[in-house]
Amino acid sequence: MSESTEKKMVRLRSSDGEVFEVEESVAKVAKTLQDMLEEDCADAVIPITCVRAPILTKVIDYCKDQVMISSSSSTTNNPNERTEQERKAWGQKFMEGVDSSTLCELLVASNFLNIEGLLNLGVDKMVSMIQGKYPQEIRDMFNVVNDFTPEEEEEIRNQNAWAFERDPYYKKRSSSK
Amino acid sequence: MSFVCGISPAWGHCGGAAGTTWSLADSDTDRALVQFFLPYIRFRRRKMESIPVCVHRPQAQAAAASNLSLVFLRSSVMEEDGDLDSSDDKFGNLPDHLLIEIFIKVPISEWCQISCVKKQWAALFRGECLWETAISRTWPLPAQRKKWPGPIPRGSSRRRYEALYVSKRVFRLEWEVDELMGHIYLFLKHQLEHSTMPPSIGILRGTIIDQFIACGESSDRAYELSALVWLAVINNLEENERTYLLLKHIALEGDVFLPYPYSRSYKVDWRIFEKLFTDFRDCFSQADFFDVLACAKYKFQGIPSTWLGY
Repeated sequence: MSESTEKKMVRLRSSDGEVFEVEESVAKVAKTLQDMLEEDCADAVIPITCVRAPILTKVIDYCKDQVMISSSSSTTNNPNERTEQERKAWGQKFMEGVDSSTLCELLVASNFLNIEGLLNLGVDKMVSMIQGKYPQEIRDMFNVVNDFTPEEEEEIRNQNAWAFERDPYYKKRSSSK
Repeated sequence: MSFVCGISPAWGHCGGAAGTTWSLADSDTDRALVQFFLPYIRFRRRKMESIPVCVHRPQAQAAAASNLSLVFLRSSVMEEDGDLDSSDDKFGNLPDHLLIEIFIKVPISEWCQISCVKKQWAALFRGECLWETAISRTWPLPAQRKKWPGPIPRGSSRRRYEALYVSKRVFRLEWEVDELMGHIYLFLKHQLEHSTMPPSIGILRGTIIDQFIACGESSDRAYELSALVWLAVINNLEENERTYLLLKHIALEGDVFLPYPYSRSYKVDWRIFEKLFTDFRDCFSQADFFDVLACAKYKFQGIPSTWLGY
């Protein structure tokens, strides 16, 4: 890749109309954008229709970091190169302080833009948020409306309390309730 | 000029929406849409592939059901352009396949809790998609296994997951027949626990051995595996009155002499008596105790002293 193409800029428009200008290499972290750019549609502003500006900012941060990693790891023995552990720590830090609604939007965005790494980070974060919580706690956290009647909820609970009843962990939880 | 538009499987949704395609004609009404999708259409048009469209599940389902493709696309455009903040339920915006990715990473013991959060989630746990994904993530090899002949069917994806889980937890097996073992375990446990009539043990035993033979096991192996399943089920029955009656029924059942491999397994018989004389000792009436003890003396050469004494 020559010097000039590397500096090529791409413009992205968020759902609320804000336009972001990023380097092509950064945009290409997103597979969806990469496909589009390879088909040479880069002259227009690319509408990112389901992502709001604050979320897109966060996504771009992630992409920039990915570019930094890949450019530094291409040269051997580079002190900037990260170990698996550091990458994990970085991912945790990146997701730190992300609240539940931002997280949902980030997931939608990384799904739409097809950024696997960010998607995995988001999924892991989401898992850690809902793990070990009762249904009502999950509803409260994500503003989910309970559309069950108590009887229906009980029925679902019974339907799904199947082969795992022997799981010691399961027993502990359900008896502590 | 027309474009094929739709949700490609990679952006998949369950419930038949994945891979559904819509045609956009080049009419006045569609022009705005074409304009909107232009960047996407341009890059895909030579390949005539589906265009990834970010949609929500209810819309996708409605569109798939009514075929009102253009209305659907337009409303989707409107909504995506509009204020996403208007919806408080951010979780509602997550496509099903993402929810599934999240759910299957949560420990299994909590799935029951998660399924009661809302109806959409409960529906995911009822559907095939979640279980299929869970199987292929957890056990990539058995996931490709084809259906088998024989009296015990493979069943739904959920049943398969259950079977695989059981074979992992109960039998701690990794080898090839493990899914089958799980299915047979579930079948036998269900028969013993839930049938209203006490099942004929001889017939159950025959069914299980037939199933192993139908799947290509030798007589020796079928006999061995069947004994393993019986032992596992007997060990995992709940300790209650019903189980006591069931075990007593099996213990006292008259011996019908059948040729190998259909004959009764010594190990299984032993375990049944052992369980009766230890775990269920307090349930015996005096008459029952001596009946069962007589039966045990007839069957086994030596009887442990712990079994004796009412």
